[in-house]
Amino acid sequence: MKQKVLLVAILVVLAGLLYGFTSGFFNETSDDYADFRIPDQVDYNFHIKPILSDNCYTCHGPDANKRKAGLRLDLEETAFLELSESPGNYALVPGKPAKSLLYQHLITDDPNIMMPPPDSKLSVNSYEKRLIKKWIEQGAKFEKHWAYIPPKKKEIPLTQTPNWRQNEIDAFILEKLENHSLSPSEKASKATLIRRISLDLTGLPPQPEQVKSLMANTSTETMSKVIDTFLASPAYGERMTQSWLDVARYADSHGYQDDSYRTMWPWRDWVIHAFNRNMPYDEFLTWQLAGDLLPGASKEQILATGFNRNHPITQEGGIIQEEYRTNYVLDRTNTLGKGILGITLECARCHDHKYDAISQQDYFELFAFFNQVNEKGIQMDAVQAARQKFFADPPYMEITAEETKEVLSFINMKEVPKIKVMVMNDSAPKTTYILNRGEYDQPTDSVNPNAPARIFPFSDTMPKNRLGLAQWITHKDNPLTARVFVNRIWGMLFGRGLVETSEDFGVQGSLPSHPELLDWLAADFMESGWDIKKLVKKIMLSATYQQKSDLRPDLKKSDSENILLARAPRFRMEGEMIRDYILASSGLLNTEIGGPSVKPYQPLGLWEETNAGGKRGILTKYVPDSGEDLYRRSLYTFWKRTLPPPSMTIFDAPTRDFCEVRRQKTNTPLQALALQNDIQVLEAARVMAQRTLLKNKEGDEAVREIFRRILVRPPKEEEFSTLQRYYKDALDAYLNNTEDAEQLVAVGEYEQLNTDPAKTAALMLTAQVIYNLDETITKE
Amino acid sequence: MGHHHGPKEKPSLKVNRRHFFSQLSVGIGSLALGSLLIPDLFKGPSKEVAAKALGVPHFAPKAKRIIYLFQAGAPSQLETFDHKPTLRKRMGEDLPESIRNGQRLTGMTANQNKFPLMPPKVGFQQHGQSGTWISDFFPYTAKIADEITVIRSMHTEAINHDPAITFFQTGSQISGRPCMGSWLSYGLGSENKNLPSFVVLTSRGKGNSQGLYAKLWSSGFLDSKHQGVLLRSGKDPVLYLNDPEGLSRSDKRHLLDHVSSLNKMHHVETGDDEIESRIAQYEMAYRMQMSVPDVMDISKEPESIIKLYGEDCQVPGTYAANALQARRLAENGVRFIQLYHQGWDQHGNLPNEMAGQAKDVDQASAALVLDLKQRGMLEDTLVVWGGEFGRGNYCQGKFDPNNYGRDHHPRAFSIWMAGGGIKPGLNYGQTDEFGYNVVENPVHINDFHATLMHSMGLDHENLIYKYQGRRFRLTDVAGHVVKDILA
Amino acid sequence: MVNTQSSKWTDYVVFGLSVFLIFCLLFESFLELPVLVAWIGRWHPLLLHFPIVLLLIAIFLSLTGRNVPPNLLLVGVLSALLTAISGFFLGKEAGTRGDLLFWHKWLGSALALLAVLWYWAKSTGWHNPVFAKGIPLAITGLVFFTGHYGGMVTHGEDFLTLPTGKAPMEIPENPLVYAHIVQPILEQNCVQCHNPNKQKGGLLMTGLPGLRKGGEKGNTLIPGQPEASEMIRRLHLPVEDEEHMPPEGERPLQDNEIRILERWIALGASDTLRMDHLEPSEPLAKLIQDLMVPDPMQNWETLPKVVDSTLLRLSSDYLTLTRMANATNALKVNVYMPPKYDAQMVLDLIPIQKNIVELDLSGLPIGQKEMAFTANCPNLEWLEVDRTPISDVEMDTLGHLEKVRFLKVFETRIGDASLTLFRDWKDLKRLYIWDTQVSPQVLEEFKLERPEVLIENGINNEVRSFFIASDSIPKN
Repeated sequence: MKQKVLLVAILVVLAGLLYGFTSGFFNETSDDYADFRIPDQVDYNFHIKPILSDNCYTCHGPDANKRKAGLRLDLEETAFLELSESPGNYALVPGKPAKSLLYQHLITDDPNIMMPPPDSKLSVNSYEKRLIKKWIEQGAKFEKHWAYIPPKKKEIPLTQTPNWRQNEIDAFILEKLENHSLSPSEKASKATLIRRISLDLTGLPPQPEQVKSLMANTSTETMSKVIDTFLASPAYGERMTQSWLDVARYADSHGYQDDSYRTMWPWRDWVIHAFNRNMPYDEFLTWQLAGDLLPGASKEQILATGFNRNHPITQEGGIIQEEYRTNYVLDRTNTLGKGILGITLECARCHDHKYDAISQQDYFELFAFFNQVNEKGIQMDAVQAARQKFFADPPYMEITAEETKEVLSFINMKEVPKIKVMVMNDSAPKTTYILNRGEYDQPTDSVNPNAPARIFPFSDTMPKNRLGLAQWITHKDNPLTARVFVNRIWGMLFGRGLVETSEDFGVQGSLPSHPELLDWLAADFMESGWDIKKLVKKIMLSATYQQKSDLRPDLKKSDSENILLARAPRFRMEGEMIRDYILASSGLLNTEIGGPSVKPYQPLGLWEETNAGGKRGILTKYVPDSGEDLYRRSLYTFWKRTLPPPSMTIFDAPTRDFCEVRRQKTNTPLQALALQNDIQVLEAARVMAQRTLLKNKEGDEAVREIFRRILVRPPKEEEFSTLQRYYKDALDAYLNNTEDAEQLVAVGEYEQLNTDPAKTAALMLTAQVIYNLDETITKE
Repeated sequence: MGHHHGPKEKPSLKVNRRHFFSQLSVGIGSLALGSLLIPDLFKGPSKEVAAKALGVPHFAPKAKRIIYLFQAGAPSQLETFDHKPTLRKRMGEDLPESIRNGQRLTGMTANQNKFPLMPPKVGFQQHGQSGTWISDFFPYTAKIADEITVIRSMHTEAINHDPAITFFQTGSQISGRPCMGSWLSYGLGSENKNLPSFVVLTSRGKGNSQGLYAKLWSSGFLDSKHQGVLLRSGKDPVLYLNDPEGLSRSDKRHLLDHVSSLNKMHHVETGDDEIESRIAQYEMAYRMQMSVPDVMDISKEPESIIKLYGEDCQVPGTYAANALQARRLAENGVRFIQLYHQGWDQHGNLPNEMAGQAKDVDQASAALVLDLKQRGMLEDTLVVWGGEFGRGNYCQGKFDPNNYGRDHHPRAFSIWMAGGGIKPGLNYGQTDEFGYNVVENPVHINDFHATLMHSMGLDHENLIYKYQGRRFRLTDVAGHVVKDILA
Repeated sequence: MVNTQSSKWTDYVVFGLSVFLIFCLLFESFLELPVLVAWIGRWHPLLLHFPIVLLLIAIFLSLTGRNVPPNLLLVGVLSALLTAISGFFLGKEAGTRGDLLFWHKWLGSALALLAVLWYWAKSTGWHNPVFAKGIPLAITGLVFFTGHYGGMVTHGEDFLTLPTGKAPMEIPENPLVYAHIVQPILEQNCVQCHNPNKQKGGLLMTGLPGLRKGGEKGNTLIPGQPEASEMIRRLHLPVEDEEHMPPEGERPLQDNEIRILERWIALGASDTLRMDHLEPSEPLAKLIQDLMVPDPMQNWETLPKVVDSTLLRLSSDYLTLTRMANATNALKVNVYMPPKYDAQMVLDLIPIQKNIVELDLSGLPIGQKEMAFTANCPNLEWLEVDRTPISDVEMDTLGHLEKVRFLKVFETRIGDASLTLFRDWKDLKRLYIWDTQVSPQVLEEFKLERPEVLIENGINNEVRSFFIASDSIPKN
């Protein structure tokens, strides 16, 4: 009897154990990889899709030609089908990893069936495998790609420490922080904030006077006041334009072979104007994409379409026109994708997109919108063009000095009587064909203008031209436009977007760190009528933005990349900003707005060494301007595509050969050299030194003065004593060696003020020390 | 059967068991590894795309550095290394359609209604044991016939300079990709920390020339520390290298010391290590201010060397000077040394212009090879000489055997390579009797790139950079190592 | 048979485990192992030795008519069960479900259960002469086969097969192209499917006759015409092509393998062709040589391990220390002239001397110390001390550097003594030795003695004079 009982008991226990295994009861105690925990609810978009896309889509994705074994995993309707090559088997069986070949082939070690195949050089790590398994267990649910779902405002999350919050943004940030049991940083000092905001909004350091008055203001509304001050300054428009020029691949030369001169700068002036009068973003886009097609298009609206003519145009003799005309249209299409929609269309030029559900047909349907332009291609080569002052390829518009006195008053004509600017038109209708492998000479089926339905269907009510495209893009149901822009603004202020790959919201792009926040901002942005200034202000008023930027030790460990934003970012400024900063802080800056691009200092001979011979166009020799034009803001610096200003490229400026939305932030010795030896910097230091001395500020006082001017804060004692010591040493050195002093202060064209050379030299070098500090070229 | 068996080992549980135990030790042992493995939840799984560690060759390399003598503008193969007697026999006859076979033409000759075959005005001789055919334009190169491998079967798709040269440098006709030099710097790092790992030197001949562009030494989407540094003749070899007048070296040191001490204070405050690396960059800049002029100073070169490269090499900015610089840079561990000599675009007046261009480069190029050889550097330095495409075998413009021109031609052209594990004295590839099409062992630019990377110890399929969700390679999706020319 | 309480209790364990084992086998496809349990599996390789020994002893005893101590049998049976179960876990985690594993699993389980049966028979005293002998014999058989399969699973299938012509072998000095080069390639890539057992496409690739006969179409191999040969055509097809060989999933052949097959067919696909019949210019010769020279990486496998942190620590602004290649411990050292040179920067490398295979000290003001250091780099293959002040004295401290094959000593003050030193450097292949104090005749002797060494003593005069006499760009 007793035996039987025991028997039963044992069986029960065993059965229990078995049940335990199958139901993964023991998984909780899994020791090895305890610290990377699988989320309770696996999210298709955030956890699974990236894995599949990265490892599987190449052969089991949208690209029909490359598809293997007839399996397509990116679509729900195909992913669950019976496998054509092994009947009775399925890649995915909801709830049954053991029956899902997808999972089985992931975990196997048999190279014959292993996925991804060994020779693909791809591999899936154990964490990803467990994610897939859990996802299948939870029913293998598919969702539309997150970025293709129109943004909706989710309700503001409740957080434990509401007192820190200053607006909705903080709620989203704080929620994530609390999930990771991190606390935000305290508010940055007022001085820091003023500098930060000034840099973000105007690309310039605040003027001492501004600082004084703003510091004085102690009302609760201070920050809002500070922000408004800078938003109101015309420098705001210049700052915003600066980054838009990268997107619009703006340049003052044609690019390619001979790379001669073009006159697109009036378009640039318009952009500044548009930002300054806070033109709504949807309008901003509509004008640039289709200004010419608007009913009764004004000259200003037509000028805006220059956006799509900023691409490089070849002047190389003997090119095949159609080949290049095609390239130009491709460029416009890609720019639309990368710069405005945040998807990399390029891939679909030659074949169906491997990762995003964008077919080659989709691509050329978009292409069709830009394919109607009456562009003749190269009219004459650089030599002729130079001779005949032919600086705009048709189609172009002509702007006269008169007009710039009225409607186009924002154009800084200088003394030019009239000027030609390349613009868009649709006066050469063409049938568009899908080009095999994207080759101009391999047309296949014809297509009509249309936009990818997967993103958002192109309704019949929209005209089938660029205007319709603009309507489609700025439609409130277009899931991308607002998100992409909001994200770029965020990236501008925080050094990295909520979506890090601000150029790619597609399947292969990185995922938003704060999806709800991104959606909330995008939705709010559209509700506000695409009001850019409002958006920027909103972000700046958040406690998140106003935090200190110091790296707390705990953050270094838990979030060194600052993805969760438990502190404000701290990153090097862009090349243009650095130069402007130096000009402004030294008081050299010439604040004139707009006009033809200028040629500041540049190492001699750069253009000469690489041009194609002296007579090839008018950009073969670099002749620096003189006087005030040496001190214009950097966005007016002449941009020659094939050899952009080194002081910019050394600091990661793109070449403007094509649309770029994100700059690197490298840290190289060449940057160190530029800051130490660029005349622009040395001259600034010198002039600042002389002016300070002229104000009869001497010794310590002078040192404090220049420190304050440059870093917008008084020096700490330690800092001061160091600089003081340095100044003294330098002074002594130069007192016994005045020739050196004179040589040194001779730098730069700016008029020499009558000051003692030794003192000047010493103070100048002291300024140099400060200009070369990390803090100076960093937004804190 | 040697290592040849290695990868083929039949898969067996052995691997797995090892694997288990390693996991066991690692897993239980250190969670540190775990944190390495954990993919970033926000970015999605962050992949180590470069399957192999960066900064080290994938396998034992033959070459440690490359000197690329790029002849910008595209020298004609028919006046350099591709000897085609037929052209003389059938001079003036129209290029048979069967041979041209639909090849697209540039706008310059597209409207020509006849394509009269034009023989080279220069003579050809065979040289060395290899019996390599070399035109009389290149008497000095003739002397190194047995050191070099001539590839007569290069071909490309591009028919215009900009896309063609961009293709050669970046593996793509469209700008935006990283250059060969940048890829190597990315894959192998730099040998000498006080010099850039990728430098560019330019010179120009009197021939009809085409421009050069910053994108030809740009690092594209790779970190811009990999971008080529333009070394310039004159007092400022690297942009902003020289300190201002009136600032002595010691003053400079003094200044830098204060900069870094202030930076250090700020580092303590902010805790941002980026500041530390900025300090380091300033130090390297300071070192470069010495090392670069040092390398570029040829005053210590003995007379014999000067004579070898030609008196010209004392004139800064000449090709000869750059060639000598190239050797010195190579000696000092620069990985990729890119020379450009402009002026090879002979649409007209070819015989005279080419004679001049050849004079510019012939002696110095040959001298470089000899000099490298005697220094044992040909063992681990790969030298390449060539342009971006070839030139047509028919006359461009007025038919005049003494003064003719040749239009661009993508289907066949010649380059030579030497050292770095390349077979010496080899002639590789063949064109048809008209020198128009490749008939044996074609070498596409992708293959050329694959081969270069191979000799540098890199698997071209394995040096990858993921950008905009796509894996990029110098060789895009093609390229085969040309094993036959490897020693 | 005495049944004490305790033995009863153990009986339940045995019973329970058997039930559990059966359960596992039956419901395998439903089982998903948690890490902890899978971990148990890893003890299989340890456990498995017990049952083998214990059971065999027990069997031996019972067959030789002696009586088997029940506890011996009990422990044997228990260990057998545990082994089977842990083995089951291990196999489950392995992922691969090969035939070997399949047999190993079922044989193993059968063994365990049979042992249980035997134990049960004994303990219940149930006796039947047939079983009494049959079971032990069966168990013995099972032990053997299970063990054998297990062995093959872990050590590879051909672990126990006697070495035959098919087994991997080194290439002889002057190999037969077909037998030593081509066939092995086919062995590894093709015969899996084209063997007497499963002749896919009616093609037999185990020998030349089969190839000559070809598959259904018969044009597998057409001597002299690789491009016309079906085999080559299929090898060249894009991988995704249905007809591509080897079929998708299988590892495609490497370029050099394909080239070899091509050239071999081009040369008539004979089985008598030998290496030394080939023209030097014939690509095949090169391809075969490549197979014959062992990868340098292999020579380095024995070097002591160095971790990257060490490399980081030891390298400095003017001293670059890198691995020769990915995942080797062979190191390359480049030293560049610092503003103030100090021998110490080289001597700091003493900890990793054994790993240094390439050392570049050229152009440095080195002396005794550095050479002493160099002398202690046993694995040095490549040494550059050109353009240094060293003379015979310093050189002498090098003594024997067995492995050095590449040596640069030009522009130094070394003389004849050094040259005599180099004579005994067996591996020396290249010697750059111009502008030294070595006397011509001694150099000549050296050349005679070591003809295989390639000696570079400056650009040959005829050429040099040509360059110096004329200058391409006439002065004006």
